[in-house]
Amino acid sequence: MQGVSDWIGQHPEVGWHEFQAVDTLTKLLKGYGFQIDTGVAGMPTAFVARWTSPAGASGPTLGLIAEYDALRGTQGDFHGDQHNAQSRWHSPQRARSWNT
Amino acid sequence: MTQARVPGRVIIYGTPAEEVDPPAKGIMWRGGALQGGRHPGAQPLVGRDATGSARIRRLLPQHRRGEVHLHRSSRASAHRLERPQRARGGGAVLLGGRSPALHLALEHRVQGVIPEGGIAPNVVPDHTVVDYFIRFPDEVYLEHMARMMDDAAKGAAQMTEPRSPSRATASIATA
Repeated sequence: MQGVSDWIGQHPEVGWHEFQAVDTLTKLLKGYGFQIDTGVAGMPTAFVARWTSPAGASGPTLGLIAEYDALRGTQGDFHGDQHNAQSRWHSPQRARSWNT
Repeated sequence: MTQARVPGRVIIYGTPAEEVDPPAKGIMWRGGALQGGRHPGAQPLVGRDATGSARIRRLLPQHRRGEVHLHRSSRASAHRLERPQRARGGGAVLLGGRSPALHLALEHRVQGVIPEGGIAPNVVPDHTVVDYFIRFPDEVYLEHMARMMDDAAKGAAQMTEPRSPSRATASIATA
């Protein structure tokens, strides 16, 4: 997951233009069995990823917010608000490993 | 969850443009994408006393009389001059909004004074005036920041629970 964080950090995209970040994250989530809806609410870089436990959907639903846009800087765009690290924190392995 | 055979679901909401307006999460909410969700921290930020009133002490900054000049290399000087903005940022948080100081890049500078803030803590004034200098070397963020401050002013006006919506007006003088 550190590699994903580093990649997004090295490819900063400002708000409404996070196409590479969304592509990277949704591909990763698809690989772990998440169902992906993109273009949510009419926004091209919004998505919702859903995963259901093999034990069934009758338990609690855990919702996580992922943010991935960069800051505009005077010397170029940059991830000064740790959004590159935040989204990978919601990694599928971590989400699926929670057992409470 | 897989290993422990715990039933349930995980939903990850990919929310764009957290740093700039319009608020994407609000758009997603209105579009139904967050339907059924509940924030775990959804609880009142400010307690109320037995009379149902909340009092905020020392909201106004305590400046010395006379001129205060900002020296760019002096953090202490900058902090003193930014007290009104910090207070306003706190007011924005109390209203459920966002503090500009917490969400904008480090290059920003906001200094302000409250030349007309009322006559007593328990008297709602007819009007108040704040005067801000907002500086940022990027016109997009500058406009964004000015709009956030303007929204905070409107929120502060709304806090006085006006009898008619027309009383809840506010404007910010910037330079």
